[in-house]
Amino acid sequence: MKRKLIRNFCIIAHIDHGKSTLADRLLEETHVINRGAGVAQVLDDMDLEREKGITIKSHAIRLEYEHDNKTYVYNLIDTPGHVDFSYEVSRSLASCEGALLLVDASQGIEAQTMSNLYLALDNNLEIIPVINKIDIPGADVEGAVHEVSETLGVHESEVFCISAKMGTGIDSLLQGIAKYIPAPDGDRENPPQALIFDSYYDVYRGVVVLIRMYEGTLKKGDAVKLFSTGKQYEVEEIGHLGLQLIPGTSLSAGEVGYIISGIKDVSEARVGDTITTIKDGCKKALEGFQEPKPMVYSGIFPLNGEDYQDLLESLAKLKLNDSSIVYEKESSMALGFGFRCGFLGMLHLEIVKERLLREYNLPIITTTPSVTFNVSLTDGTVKSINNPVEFPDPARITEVDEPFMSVEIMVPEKFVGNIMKLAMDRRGIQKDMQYIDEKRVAIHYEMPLLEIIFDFYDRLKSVSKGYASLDYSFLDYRKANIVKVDILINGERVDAMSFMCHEDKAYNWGKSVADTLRDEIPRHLFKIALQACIGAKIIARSTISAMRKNVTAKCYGGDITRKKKLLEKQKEGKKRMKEIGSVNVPQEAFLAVLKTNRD
Amino acid sequence: MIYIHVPFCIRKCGYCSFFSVPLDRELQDRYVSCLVKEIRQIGKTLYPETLYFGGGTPSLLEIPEFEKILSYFDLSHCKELTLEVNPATISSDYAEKLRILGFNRVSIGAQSTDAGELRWLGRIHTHEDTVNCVSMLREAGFDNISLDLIYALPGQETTSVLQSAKALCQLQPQHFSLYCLSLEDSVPLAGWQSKLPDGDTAAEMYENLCDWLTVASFSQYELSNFSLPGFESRHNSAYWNQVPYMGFGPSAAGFTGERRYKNPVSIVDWIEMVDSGSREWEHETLNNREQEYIMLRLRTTIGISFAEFSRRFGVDFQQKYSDVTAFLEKHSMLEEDVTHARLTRKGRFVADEVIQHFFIDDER
Ligand SMILES: Nc1nc2c(ncn2[C@@H]2O[C@H](COP(=O)(O)OP(=O)(O)O)[C@@H](O)[C@H]2O)c(=O)[nH]1
Ligand code: SF4
Repeated sequence: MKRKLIRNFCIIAHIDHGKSTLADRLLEETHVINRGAGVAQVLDDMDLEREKGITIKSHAIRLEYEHDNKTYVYNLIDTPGHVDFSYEVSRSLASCEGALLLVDASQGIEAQTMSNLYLALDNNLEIIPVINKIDIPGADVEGAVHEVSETLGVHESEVFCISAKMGTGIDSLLQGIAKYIPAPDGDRENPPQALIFDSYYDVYRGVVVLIRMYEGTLKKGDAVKLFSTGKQYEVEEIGHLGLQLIPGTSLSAGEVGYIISGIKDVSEARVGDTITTIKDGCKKALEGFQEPKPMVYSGIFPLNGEDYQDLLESLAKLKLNDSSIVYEKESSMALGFGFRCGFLGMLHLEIVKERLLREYNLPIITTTPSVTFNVSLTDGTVKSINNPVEFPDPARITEVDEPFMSVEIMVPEKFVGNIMKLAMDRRGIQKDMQYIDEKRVAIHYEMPLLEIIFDFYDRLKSVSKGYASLDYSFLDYRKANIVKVDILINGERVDAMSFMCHEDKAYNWGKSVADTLRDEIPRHLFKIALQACIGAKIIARSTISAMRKNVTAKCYGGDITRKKKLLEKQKEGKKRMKEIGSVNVPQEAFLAVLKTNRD
Repeated sequence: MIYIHVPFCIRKCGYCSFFSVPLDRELQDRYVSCLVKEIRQIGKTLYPETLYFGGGTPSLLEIPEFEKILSYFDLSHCKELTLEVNPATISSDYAEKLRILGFNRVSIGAQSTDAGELRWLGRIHTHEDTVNCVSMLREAGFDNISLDLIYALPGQETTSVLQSAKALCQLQPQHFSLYCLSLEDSVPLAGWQSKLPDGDTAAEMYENLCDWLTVASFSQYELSNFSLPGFESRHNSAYWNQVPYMGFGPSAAGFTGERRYKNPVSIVDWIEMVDSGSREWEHETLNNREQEYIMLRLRTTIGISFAEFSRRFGVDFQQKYSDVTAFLEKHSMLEEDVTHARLTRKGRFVADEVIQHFFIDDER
């Protein structure tokens, strides 16, 4: 393999701007797949990803491109498209020398694309600007070209204009990749140094580790180790990434491929870690490695108590493929046995929930999500708390710190007022605001993560008619007045409904939960008090008045059996509810509490 | 006690979920023959204490048809012979003949006195019909007349219900049945389900009606039934005592004390069943019967007699259900004295909810 002919690149694009379509086109042009072979959108290979239009895990594929009597090797490395996965994105980018910045001619650049673009620039990637969907009648191609060239500081003539759908401009783009993206550096004779940019679990083969060779050569049979853990393995198989795995004998500096080496669990092969040989290995790990850091925590309980064991097994299986999930056992008075789980973000939580339901047929209840607070106690210790149940008595607390995020919102100018109001409601601190072009601005905020995890994204979309885009990353921890709010149903605390929030929001949120419960819990024979409390202090309440009517008017001969069955059915329905303080609380109430208004 | 279901109506009312089909002479002939056959299949003379013709519209049967049917019973012990009557279907002559046949109680489907309400319900009669009907029956010598009243119609005002009740009371009936309108999914008016008055309004109407009937010297003896002293329906009271009964005709049910049956809800299927001479019985577990007994007794104002309960089921009611009764008493749904447990006034309109508390799993 001639290093000079290798091009490693990725595509940076906002959801729906056409990344998958372009990838398909590139595969067709280079004959990896036949046109219309029906292997639609090869790079996203999970149903869920396709449906949500997001890429959960990055993968990579090798293309061979003949040009000027030379055979180039293109490694197209896919990147996850959502803000929850920005660390994974950064590692994918680190495996590349170039990136296609793909922008929908009718949409322009979005916030997340910007932030990924900055990540790419930080990694010294060569950026090739590409305007897609030029076939759409009325698309403002010129405007898009202008915007992109301004943003990147390039000539408009350097911008590629394509239609991924129609195949227009694909060949000149392929040429452009050869021309503009530099070949990788590195020397095949140096001590080997390989970056893990992804890994996945295959039921038959165990963990497949995707790597980018920076230096040296790795061969089949080599004894290797991982820098972060020092664990040692043998390279059982090594090769390239086609539509399937293509085994070979070695990988050298500049190449992208995979190894299989008896690793049983993806959490052993962490994204960002460095692999080298035990004998004559490299001395230093590649920079940028991070432990996966869950940002959002939530309780996960089986909807049906008897599914607990299944849930345990399913989570273990999910974790085989997704090392960023963390979980430990938890038990709740209201919901029974379950797990406290940590996620990279709300979308990650949603994905896990959906996969449990779809792939494992396990309906679950999640509890109100929380971030991790650093709680300083009077005895001088500091505790990390992400579960309201563990929140200490206020008398023992000297200070609570909460995570703040740096938030970038891009939005057409006319929605700025709405966005500012929303951000202010969410305790956002505006840092600056810049015009991207005549009509669009980028606003930069510092905002507590706690305020983002509760439907912030949905609200943002709704106050901007769908035009705003959002990106955020962790900034620091800051002192805040955080309180724990308990929910009482007829005087009994429902542990699964407690939540932590800023003192100023406690009343609104508490009231909103109490009102939701009022609408979700059926009337009982007696009046039901719904209260939100901080410690012993009641801050908000709502009431469900006593049932006035549940009676069958007629009950004579022929009706008797039928009527009895009807009552039995009603009774059965109640058995499926959770009994809290002699109140039957339907499962739906727990779900509805999650969706309550948090403004 | 015996129930006979007459499955014919002149026109189907929009809210009705009873089994009935449009009047059809030829079918009615086949019905009567088959009914007689079904009765004779019992193989012995029946001496009912009460006999009840319900429907449908049993007042559509001709006098000779009644004659024929009744000839298969020994009515010497019969204390109550009831006919359900649609106010638009009878004449003085018919009324007199009923009396001669031995009918001593009629239940009239008056439902309302308001012309608009009657029309909406799809009733074929007017309030005037009801007035005439009552006077013809009275003239024929009937002194045990019951009137049905439906309340909680969509958009109905409490005042309108009371007006109907007052107007009906002027007809001097001995008995009232009050039915809160419910619309099953299968009925033509089902689309109005969401427009029915809410539970609070219905409860308020019920309470007003109860109060008003009390003032008019009726006493309540079951959730939906009120009478002057001594005019309680014996037949219906027997159901609430879980007394064995037999039912004839399509959709009729029967109960021996341990086993029960329910006839097909179709004239053709019912005829087929009678012709084949085979009937499907279902055994009732003791636990089931016990729960049913509680369900039925709690509907009555007398309530559950502890002595009777232990005689029937061999268990001490107070002991077995002490947790349930304590809970219900705490919320003023149930009251107990030395001999009985019964619903409170507050408990009545939520009877179904209260009763479920007694449905405890039990292997018997
Ligand atoms: N008209 C037009 N539609 C396109 C083009 N490229 C992609 N699309 C459509 O845009 C939508 C999103 O494309 P997809 O490749 O799934 O976007 P991704 O989310 O970035 O992977 C799909 O409906 C595509 O058919 C194009 O060049 N022209
Ligand atoms: S008359 Fe009675 S049985 Fe016949 S349709 Fe009307 S309500 Fe039903």
